Amino acid sequence: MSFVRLENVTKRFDRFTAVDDLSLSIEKGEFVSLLGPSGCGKTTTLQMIAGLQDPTAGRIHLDGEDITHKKPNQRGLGIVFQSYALFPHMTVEENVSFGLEMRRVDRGEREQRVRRSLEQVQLDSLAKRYPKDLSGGQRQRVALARALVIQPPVLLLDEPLSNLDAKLREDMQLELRVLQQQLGVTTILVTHDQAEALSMSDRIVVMNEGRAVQIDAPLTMYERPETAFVSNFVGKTNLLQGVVTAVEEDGATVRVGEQSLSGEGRGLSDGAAVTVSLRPEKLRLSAQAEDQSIPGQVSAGIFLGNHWLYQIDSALGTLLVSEANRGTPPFARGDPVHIHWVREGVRLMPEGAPRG
Amino acid sequence: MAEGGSPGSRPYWLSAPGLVLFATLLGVPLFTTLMLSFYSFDYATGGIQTDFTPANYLEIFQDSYFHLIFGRTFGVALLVTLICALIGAPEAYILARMRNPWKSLFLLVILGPLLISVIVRTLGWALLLGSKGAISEGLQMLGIISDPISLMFTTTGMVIALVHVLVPFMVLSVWASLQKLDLQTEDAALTLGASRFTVLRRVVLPQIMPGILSGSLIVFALTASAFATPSIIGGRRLKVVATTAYDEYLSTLNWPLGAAIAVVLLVANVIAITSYNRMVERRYAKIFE
Repeated sequence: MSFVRLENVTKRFDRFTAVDDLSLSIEKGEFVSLLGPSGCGKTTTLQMIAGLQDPTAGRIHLDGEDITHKKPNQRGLGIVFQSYALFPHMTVEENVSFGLEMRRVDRGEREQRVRRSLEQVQLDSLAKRYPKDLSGGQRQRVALARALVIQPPVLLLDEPLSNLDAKLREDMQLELRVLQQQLGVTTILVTHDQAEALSMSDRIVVMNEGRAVQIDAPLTMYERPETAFVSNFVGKTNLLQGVVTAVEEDGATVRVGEQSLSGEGRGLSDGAAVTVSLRPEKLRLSAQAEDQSIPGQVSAGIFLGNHWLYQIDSALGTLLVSEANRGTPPFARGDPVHIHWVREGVRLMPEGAPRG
Repeated sequence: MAEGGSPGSRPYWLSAPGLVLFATLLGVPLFTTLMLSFYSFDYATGGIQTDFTPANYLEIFQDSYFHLIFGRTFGVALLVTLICALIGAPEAYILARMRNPWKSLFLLVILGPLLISVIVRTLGWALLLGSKGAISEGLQMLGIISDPISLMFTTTGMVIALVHVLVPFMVLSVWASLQKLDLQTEDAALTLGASRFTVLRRVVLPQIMPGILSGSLIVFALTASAFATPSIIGGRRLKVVATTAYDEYLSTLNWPLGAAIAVVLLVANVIAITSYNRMVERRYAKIFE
């Protein structure tokens, strides 16, 4: 029996369907991310779980209880909002204490729990400050402490890191994940940042146009995307159009333009159109030709510290190739190169099938 | 540069026309009023003696007639301010939650009174409040009262008309502070277990309090110095400070006493406003940026 269960949840606004027949089961202690572009319905889904939106159809269960139409102040869930939504007229400790006051926790215990919660997010020294005197990262921690202090059965995070700069965001991702695992709190994160979803979650739900397109663990999602939408949204990729020429045991051989290549995939049939996904880091460049390689020419290259990202013109079209920085001299613009790949790095997805 | 002295003096020259305008149109009259208030008036000859005496001020501070008028003026001002806050703050909150086109429509309805001359508006109230007015007739028709009532020349009537005139200022002021309110703070409080009422009391109200307080300041100052509405609704029977000063000038022709009344009103108003403002700032400076 799963801890949080969404059954055919649908939300319509006038004529617009924000969430369309979404079903999802989340285990206790699991960290699940709802990932998708803006307007895909991920935030609406979170708000329905929080009780801030009423589903048009479907049911939501929490720990075996039907909470579909329960008021948000009866659900007891912890939420971190995108804007943090701290109470500007209260100090840090008053903010964190608010949820406990509403639960009529007595003063002594309240103070203790507030202190412990602020220690968890390393803010115990700022307890008397007002939100306006805090940095973005500190506000974010207060919001987290405020949500966690009530010991919610489920923690809901609505794009909690999107207002932080890149370096701080990475630190917070790790910190949040460690804290979540320490506390074992079931967590649902809404994000449009695929890196965030990949780095923090046990499972990712990729959403598009109100539907769950694919639900999988991060590694599976990245390595075996089922649709072109997912492979393009989760990580960088090169997408090519091809036709199946021979179906094999766990994949097929396809023709892309004049080039024939073999890859992995499911649900393929002879003569069917397929989308081929080649991850930049699954391709390799060399100066000499080897078997299973095609010639190309470097048209651009950017240096990213631990790797280079090259744009290569080839018979397959323009491809992005990522090369790790191993100390070898980089390729220059206009250099002739050969692109190599292995069969496991080629992902085939039937076209038109489960659309993204 | 050859002309106009050093470049550093240019801002002063540029603001000179404005300064001259203020000095002649505000500074000079204020100063002459202040001077006038220290002269004395001879009832026998109707002349103004240019002696220098605090007699007018002593009269105002000692005569219970003036105590009554000043007391009434500031009492009405406090009451109107309170009622405006009680009506205006919820009104602005509801308005901010409305969707277009209703929002624009009701905003226009609320601000509409500001587009009409205060005299016309008050005469409208006189029609409603009189013994043959719509309120009296309506209450009789409903059988709530048997004899016609008039709210003309009563404090109640004056307060009603003043609230109508001044409530838009409160709405605008609260509206401005509502624009800064993060809607998600309400959701946050709700999900933390607060009831709707607690959300309003503990989260919304404290955040719009600066708006209510600055709106109160405007309403209080405007009520305390209001002239048109008290003179039409209150008339001679229910004088306030502004209408008393007017009568001293134009009926009794005792200009020095009228000037002294005006100066006392100005000073009292300034003291009330600045001390209030200081209190508000001390309370909220550390919370809001």
